Amino acid sequence: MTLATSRSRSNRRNPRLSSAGQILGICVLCFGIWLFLDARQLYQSALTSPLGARRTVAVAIVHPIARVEEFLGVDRLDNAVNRVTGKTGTPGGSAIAPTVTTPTAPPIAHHGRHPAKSTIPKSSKPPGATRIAQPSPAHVLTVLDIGDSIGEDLGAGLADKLGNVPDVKLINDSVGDTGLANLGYYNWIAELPTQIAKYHPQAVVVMLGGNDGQAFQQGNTVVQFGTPLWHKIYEARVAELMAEATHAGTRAIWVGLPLVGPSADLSNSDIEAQNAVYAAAARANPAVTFVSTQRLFENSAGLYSTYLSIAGQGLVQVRDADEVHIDPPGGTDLIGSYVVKKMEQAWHIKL
Amino acid sequence: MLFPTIDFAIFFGVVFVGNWLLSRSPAKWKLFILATSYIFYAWYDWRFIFLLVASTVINAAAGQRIFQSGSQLVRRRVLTGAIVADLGLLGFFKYFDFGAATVDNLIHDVGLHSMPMPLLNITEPVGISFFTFMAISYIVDIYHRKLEPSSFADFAVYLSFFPHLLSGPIVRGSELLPQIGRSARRNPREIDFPEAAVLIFGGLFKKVVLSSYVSSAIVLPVFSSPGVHSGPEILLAAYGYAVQIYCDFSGYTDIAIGCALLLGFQFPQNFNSPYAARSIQDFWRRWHMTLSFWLRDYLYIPLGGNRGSRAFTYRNIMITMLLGGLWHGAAWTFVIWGAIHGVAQCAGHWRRDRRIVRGLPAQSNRPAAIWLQRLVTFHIVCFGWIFFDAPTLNNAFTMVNRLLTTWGDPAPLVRFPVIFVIVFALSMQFIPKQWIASAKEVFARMTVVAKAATLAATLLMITTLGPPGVAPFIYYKF
Repeated sequence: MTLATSRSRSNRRNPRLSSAGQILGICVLCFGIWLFLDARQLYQSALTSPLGARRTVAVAIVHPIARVEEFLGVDRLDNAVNRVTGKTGTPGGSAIAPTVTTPTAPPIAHHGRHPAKSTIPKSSKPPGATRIAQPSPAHVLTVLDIGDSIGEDLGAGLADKLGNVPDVKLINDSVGDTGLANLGYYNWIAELPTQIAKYHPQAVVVMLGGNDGQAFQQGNTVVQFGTPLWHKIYEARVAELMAEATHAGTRAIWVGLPLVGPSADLSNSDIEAQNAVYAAAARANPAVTFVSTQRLFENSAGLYSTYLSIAGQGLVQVRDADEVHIDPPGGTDLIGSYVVKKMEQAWHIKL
Repeated sequence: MLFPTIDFAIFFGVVFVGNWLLSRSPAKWKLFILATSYIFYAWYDWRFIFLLVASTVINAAAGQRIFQSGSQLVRRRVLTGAIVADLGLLGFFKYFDFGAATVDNLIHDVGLHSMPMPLLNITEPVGISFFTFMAISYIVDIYHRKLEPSSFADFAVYLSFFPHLLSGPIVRGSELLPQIGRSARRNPREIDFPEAAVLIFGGLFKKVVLSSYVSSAIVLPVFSSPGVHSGPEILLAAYGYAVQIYCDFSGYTDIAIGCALLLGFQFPQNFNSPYAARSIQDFWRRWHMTLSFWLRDYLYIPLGGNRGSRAFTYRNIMITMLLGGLWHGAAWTFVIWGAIHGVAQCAGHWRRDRRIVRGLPAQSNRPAAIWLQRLVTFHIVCFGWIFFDAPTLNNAFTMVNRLLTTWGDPAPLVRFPVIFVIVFALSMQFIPKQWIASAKEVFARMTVVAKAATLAATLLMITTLGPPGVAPFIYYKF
C-alpha cells in the first residue's frame, strides 16, 4: 500500500479531515454564493469608502452582481429581513434610530418600527424665524442634533447637560461615517428636511466634517480634496445644509471641529480650512451661529492633548485613543457644557 | 486589519495557499509566515513593527543566554533584565500617561499646586499586552528548564504569528514552538475543517450579530449616559455587557483558533462557558483561560500561591487579580474590577474552607444549589463588568447608585428584542457539547457544494442580521 493510498483511506475513514485544496474550493464557492446573495449590501459598503482605486475596483466588481441580484428579485429577502429586524439601512454601523432625551417623555422608538406616542401636540407649529423663546411648559424647546460620529460624541455631552433640564427635548440623530463629501452614502442635505418635518425642532445643532477630507464625485469628475473646486463645491453644500436647517424658521448652531492629535487620520491644517468654511457660511446666514471648538481642546501650550486640566477636576481624559473622537465623560462633558453655554448666548435663553 | 472584513478574508486566502504550498520547505515557510504576520501587524500602524522586532530580539537573546549560562546568578540576572525590559516597554506604552495623570491629580487633590506632570500622548501599540506576556512565559520557562530555546526564526514566528498577535490567546512557547519546529510534518490532507468552520463562523456570529446588537441597543446608550437611565435599564445593560464582551472576545478567539487550525496549528482553548461557572474561582478557569493560567503560573504561584497561611493566600490572590485588572487597561476602573474579583475569590476560598472544616463538600452539588451558585456568580461578574466598561469611576458609581435607587423610573430601553438576544446568548453557555459535536459530524458528511452553500447561508445570515460597518474587537485595545 502506498502512502498516498494510505492517506486517502485515512481520509475516507475520517470524514472530518479535509485537504487544503478541498477547503480552498469550498471557501471560494462559499464566497461566490454569498457575494451573489449579498451584493446589494456589499455595494452600499463599497460606496462608503473614500474615492480611490480600492473603491473603484470594489464597485466595479459588486455593482453588476447587485444589479443581477435585483433583477432576479433575490434582494427582496434582504429587504424583508431588514423590515422584520427594524433596520432602516441607516449607514454608519447603527441599527438604532434617533434617541430622544427629555426629562418628561420616554425616548422615541426606532425608525420603521412602532413609534412611541409623540409628546408634541399635533397642533404645534415651529415658532418665528429667528427668536427662540425661553423653554417653558408652553414652549418646549426641541433641539435636533445631527452630524457624524464626532456629532454623536457632542450628542452624548448635550444629553448629559440637557437631559434633566425641564422643557427641553433633545433628539440625537447623528450618524457615524457621514458628512457632506460623500452624499452618495448618506445625504444630509436631503435627510435634514425630513427630520425637521418629523420633529419640528426650534433649533438644530450640527457637528460634522470629520469624514469630509476626501475627494468626491461631481458628475463624471473626481474632485480632489483641497483643490479650489473642492472648496467651492464643499462651501456650496455647507451653505445648502445651513439653509435647510433654518428655512423652516429654526435657528442653528454649527459646531466646528476640534484639533486632532498627531496620530490621527486627519490633519489640523485641513480641519482649520474646513472650520473656516463653516464660519464663513454661518456669517452669511443670520439664523446660524458658528461655535469654534478649536481652543476648547488645546492644552496650555496650544497643542493637542488627550488629557486636559479642568478646573475643579484636575487632569481629565478628554479625547479618545484615536486622537480624533471625544472621550466620554470628560470630553463630552466639556464640549456639552461649552455648546450649551453658546446656545444660551446665541438665543438669549437660560438652560 | 480586523478579522470580520473582506480585507482579512483576501489576506487569509493568500496566506492559506502560501502556507500549504511552502509547508515542506521550513525555511521558506517561516519567512513567508513571518512576512505576512508583520504585514498584518503593520496594517494598523507600521511603527509598531519596531516594537515587535525589539521584543523578539531581546527575548530570543535572553532565552539563549539563560539556557547556555552555567551560572545561576547570571541566569537570574538575564531573566530579571529581560522581564524588566518587557514590562518596561509595556509600562511605558500603556501606563505612562495614566501614571502621570494619576500623580498629577493626587498632587492636586492634596492642595499642592505644582507644574503639571508631562503627558506624552503615547499611542498604545495593539496587542502589546499579549505578546509581552507570551515573551515572558518563554524566558521564564527556559529559566525553569521546562523549555529549550528555539532558533531565532522559530521564536520570531512564535511571537508574531498573526492569528494570536492582536488579542490572543496567550499561547505558551511549550505549546506552539514544538508545532513550529514540526511545521514540515503538517499534513495538508488532514485539516479538521468542520472544527475550524464552526469556530470561525460561530465566532463571526457572536461578534457581528450578538455583540454588535447588544452594544448598540442597550450597553452603549446606558454606559455612556447612566445619569439619564433607570435601574431596570442599568441592570439590563450590565447583563448586556456580559453578553457583549463574551461574544466579542470569545468570538475573536474562536476565529483566531479556527484560522490557526486551517494553517495546521493547534491553539489552546480560551473560553469554556464562563457564565456557567459556580464560583469566581471556577469563572477564572473558564474565562480568558490562557490569561488566567498565565497569571496563575507566572504570578500567583511564584508569589507563593496557597502554600502558606490563609492570609498569605488571600494576599497573593489580591495581588494577582489587581495586576490582572491593571493588565486590561490603564484606568482605576480596571483595578476596581480586579479587586472585585479578588475579594470574591477570597470570600469563595473562605466559604469553601469553612464547609470543609464542618465536614461538608467544598460546594453543594444539589441541582438547586448549583443553579443558585451560578446565579450568584453571574451577578458578581456582572457587577464587576459595570466597572470594567464604565469610562470613569464616577460613571460606574452613578450606575450602581441608579441601579439601586431608580427602579420606579421609566425604562424605555428594556424591550423584548434586547431581552431575547441576551437570554439567547446566555443560554448558548448551556448547549450540550454533544449537540455541537453532532453538528460538526453532519457538516463533515456533506458534499462540497452542500458545505459551501451552508457556509454561504451562514455568512449571509451574519451580514444580514449584523450592522453595517465593523466595530473593532473590545480586547484588541488591551
